[in-house]
Amino acid sequence: MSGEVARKLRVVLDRGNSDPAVEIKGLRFRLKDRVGREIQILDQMDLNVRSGEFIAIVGPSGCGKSTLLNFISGLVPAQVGEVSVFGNKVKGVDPSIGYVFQQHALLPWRNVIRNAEIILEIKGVPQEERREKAREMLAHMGLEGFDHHYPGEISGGMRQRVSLARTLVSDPKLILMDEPFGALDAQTKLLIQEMFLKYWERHRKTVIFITHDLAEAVSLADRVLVMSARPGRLIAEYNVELERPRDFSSLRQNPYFHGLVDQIWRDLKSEAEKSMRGRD
Amino acid sequence: MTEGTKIALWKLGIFIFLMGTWEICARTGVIDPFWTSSPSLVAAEFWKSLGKNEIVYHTGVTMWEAMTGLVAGAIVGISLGLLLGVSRVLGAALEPFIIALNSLPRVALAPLIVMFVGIGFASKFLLAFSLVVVPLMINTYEGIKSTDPQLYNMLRIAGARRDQVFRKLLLPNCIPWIFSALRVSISFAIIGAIVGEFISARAGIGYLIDSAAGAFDTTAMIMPLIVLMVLAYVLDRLFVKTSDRLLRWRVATH
Repeated sequence: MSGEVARKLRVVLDRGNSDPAVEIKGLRFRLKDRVGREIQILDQMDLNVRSGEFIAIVGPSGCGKSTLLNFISGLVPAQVGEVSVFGNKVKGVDPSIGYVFQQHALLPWRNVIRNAEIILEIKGVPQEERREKAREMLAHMGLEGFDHHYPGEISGGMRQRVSLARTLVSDPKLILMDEPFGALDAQTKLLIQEMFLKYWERHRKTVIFITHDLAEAVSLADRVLVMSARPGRLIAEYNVELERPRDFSSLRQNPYFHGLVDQIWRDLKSEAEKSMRGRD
Repeated sequence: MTEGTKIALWKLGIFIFLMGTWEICARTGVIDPFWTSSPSLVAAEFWKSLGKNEIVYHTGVTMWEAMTGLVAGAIVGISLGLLLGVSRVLGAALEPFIIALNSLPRVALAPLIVMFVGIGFASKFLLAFSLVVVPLMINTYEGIKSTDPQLYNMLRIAGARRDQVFRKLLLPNCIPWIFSALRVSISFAIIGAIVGEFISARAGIGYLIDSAAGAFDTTAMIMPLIVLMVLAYVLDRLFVKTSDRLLRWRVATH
């Protein structure tokens, strides 16, 4: 009974867009490298993401962007600092969080439909129901007729769409995306971005989206956060004042769009240079 | 002409050339058939043996020893490999011992095994078993170790339990590794059975060859060898066909 009440309460809370989906306070993280030196990966991270918000995080390579997602997903326990998702402190993985990886992470021995349904399968959804849902989502992604193809038989862009469908079909409350379109060619990338933007504007899930691509960040997100070179912390924050629903194809003719991309790049440039020097 | 027919014609050509050269060398006396026999002598020997029901019986004995050893070795080897694979501590602790066991020339165990269990079926079965069990264990273990950590994370985030990770990721991931170990194990098992028969036996292909050697009868030595070769070849083809069908996803990937 109390579970039912809690669920209803959450539904009510989710509607109010102001309550936090993700709260991070004073998160630090260090690692030992191969020769035993301590490396500070994340330094004093503070982050608040509102429910229903689309956040993009940009930053130079190696600044700990992916590490941050591992903390939020519960894959890695926090050492110093606090991470909460929907008001609960993160302790281990939370199946209500969806994660889209940079590589498609499809099981090569499962065909498209069986890959798309695997999260529902793990959650114990009966086969007929999960197959129906997976088929619907695949159709939405423009993948009708490929149900019985194996990942090895389809293109990189299609694989990434299957991977996206797999996450979305499980209806996660929070979607973590780690450079999900980073490995795609330019045209495929634009098409998938547009498809995902449309999907998001209809469902308004909370998204934390990590990318190197500033135009991608500005065209999709409500808010773009810029991280410093290692040790990573937030150094700038931009609200993207573009009306929703956004017309993806005309965004790139918008002077505001280009102005914002340039501004973010000015912030990021010196950090990216620092990170490049660090690599040599 | 398609490439397939071209290859088939070449195969046939090579076969005829080899057999023909062998036969002609024997007939013209270039090589004394006392030492190397000839295709026609071997064929005649085969018909004679078939008539006495000898070759079928002895082949049956050897194949029975080899195949029971193969199946038992596969079951034990795969189970051990899976166990080592899922228990990281156990796997790491036992790894040096497995490598040591693998580098041992296991046919050299034959006299010891015969001493332990006698000259009957058990010694051949155990020898085949011992040749098969280690490679299957190692390949299964490697198959589990080669699992992509990203796939593992994907399942963990979805909330998969340990048994689900095992069934949906670890097990399917090592199937191709198990299949490639099984393929070489077919001939390993036959080697095990034959070596066992060489040491001491009352039946089997190894026994046939050994007794023919005692009589300096090269034709009777070569005939069972060829029968065995053809049989092992057919088994291998059947195995590859089946595994290609089961691993269709893999054929598609490469």
